[in-house]
Amino acid sequence: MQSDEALMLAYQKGDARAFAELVARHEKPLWNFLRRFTDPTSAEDLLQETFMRVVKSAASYQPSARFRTWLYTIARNLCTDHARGQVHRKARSLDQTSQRDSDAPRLVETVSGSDAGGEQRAVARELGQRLESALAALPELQREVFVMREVLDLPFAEIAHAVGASEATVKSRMRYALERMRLELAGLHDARPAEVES
Amino acid sequence: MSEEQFREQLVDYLYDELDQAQRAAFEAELASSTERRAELEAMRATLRSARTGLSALDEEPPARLRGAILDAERASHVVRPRAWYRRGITVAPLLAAAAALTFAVLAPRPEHQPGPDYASEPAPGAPLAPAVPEPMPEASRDEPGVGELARAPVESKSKLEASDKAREKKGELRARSASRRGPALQERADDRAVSNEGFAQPPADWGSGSLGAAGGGGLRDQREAEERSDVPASRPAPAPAARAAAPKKSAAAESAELAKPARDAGSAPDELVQRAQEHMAAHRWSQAVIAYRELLQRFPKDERAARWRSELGEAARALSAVPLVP
Repeated sequence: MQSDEALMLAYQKGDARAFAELVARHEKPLWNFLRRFTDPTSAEDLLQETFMRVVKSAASYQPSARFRTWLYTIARNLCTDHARGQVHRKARSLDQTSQRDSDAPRLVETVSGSDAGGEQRAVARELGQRLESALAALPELQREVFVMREVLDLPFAEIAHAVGASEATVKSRMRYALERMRLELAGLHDARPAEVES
Repeated sequence: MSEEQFREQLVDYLYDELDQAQRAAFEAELASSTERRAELEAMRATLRSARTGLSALDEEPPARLRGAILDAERASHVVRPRAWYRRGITVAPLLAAAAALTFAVLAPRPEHQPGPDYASEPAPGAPLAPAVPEPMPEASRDEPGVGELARAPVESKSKLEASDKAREKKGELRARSASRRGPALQERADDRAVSNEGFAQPPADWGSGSLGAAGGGGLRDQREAEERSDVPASRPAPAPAARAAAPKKSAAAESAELAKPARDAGSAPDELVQRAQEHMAAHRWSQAVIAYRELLQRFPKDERAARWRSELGEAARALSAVPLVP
């Protein structure tokens, strides 16, 4: 399999199939990255714009830079600009799910009582919602580091490059993000002590 | 190990980014402290929950998105203009254009009898004229080559009438004929044709590439006259002597040739599309703008209209990016 960088060089020379392959490889992780920050409609626009920036900048692409880091940096910057443009609106609807409803069944109860496939999917959905609200509650700098690491699977060094901070700073943001999420997701993992690795 | 050091290394440990020595030291610290082991486990549990949640949130992007991206890429790749200095444009044509423009603005002109003011003179009682094409873009009116058309001799009134009759016989005369438009408008068109006769033969020293006759109204006026008289703009061939004197067509003359009014392209869009694409390929942006606008006006329902619109945008952007003087 050709590396991203080789594909990008091929595209620089006019090979449109190389671009199609790059889109196929990165479309899904980018989509999931963008969706953690914005609604589907905006995510569509931002995803298209990200790849259009690649097209426009193809001539100046240097293979010394990792394509993936470059691509995700473009997406991250577009996302930041988009968020700034919506400064008076909340990017995510925090009030939908971030406040835990004391009357709602705790996730622990659902998890412990579920064994059917449908129920498990329902639990997974609820877990997803809990995570979404936990992510939304994170400060943006921490959230982007967390999402880049966990969704895009970028090493900390590349995240540091993408966000323009030192690696130590990025790790520190990750630690704060995890500590905050630990509180947000407390009900969940407290419910499954047997699964905790020793 | 201090609390701060421990917390700093916790993330590295979770993501296996400690080197061997650091890892050994960290694990020794864990072995000696129940509290730190508990903290590590809590972090691991958080990560595990978060990953489960993320997998639940995992989505496929909309299927249509990839097609849209690839379509956009194709469109931009086909018509994306490169900077003028990188696509090998020689400076000479640009200098010639600049000189011609300067001449057009500054040169003394022969006595000019302007044609009637169509805009402020609606024919009393006459029905409205049919829709006319949008005015030419400003930039294209100032381009080299447009003046060539403006200076083209207009056929005499009798010739035009004869031409109309001939076309009428063939059934080619369009619905917007003189009778539909009313006599007043037709009369003005006739006046126009006559008044332009003063420009039929430009002074010999104007040169083939000058914009000197732009004062006559240029391509737009010519098209207006054509609209009103239903007579195609005359494009007489140069006299043999003139052809001999100018063995090679100037760039401006070539542009004028290519800027031939779109209605010459017949009723089907294909010929016009081909012409527009040729303009794009040759980086004749203004002509491309004209051609695509014409296409969109005449064939707005065509299935390729969206693409034409996109290419019109590209051509317009490219046109605005090309400096007249390097």
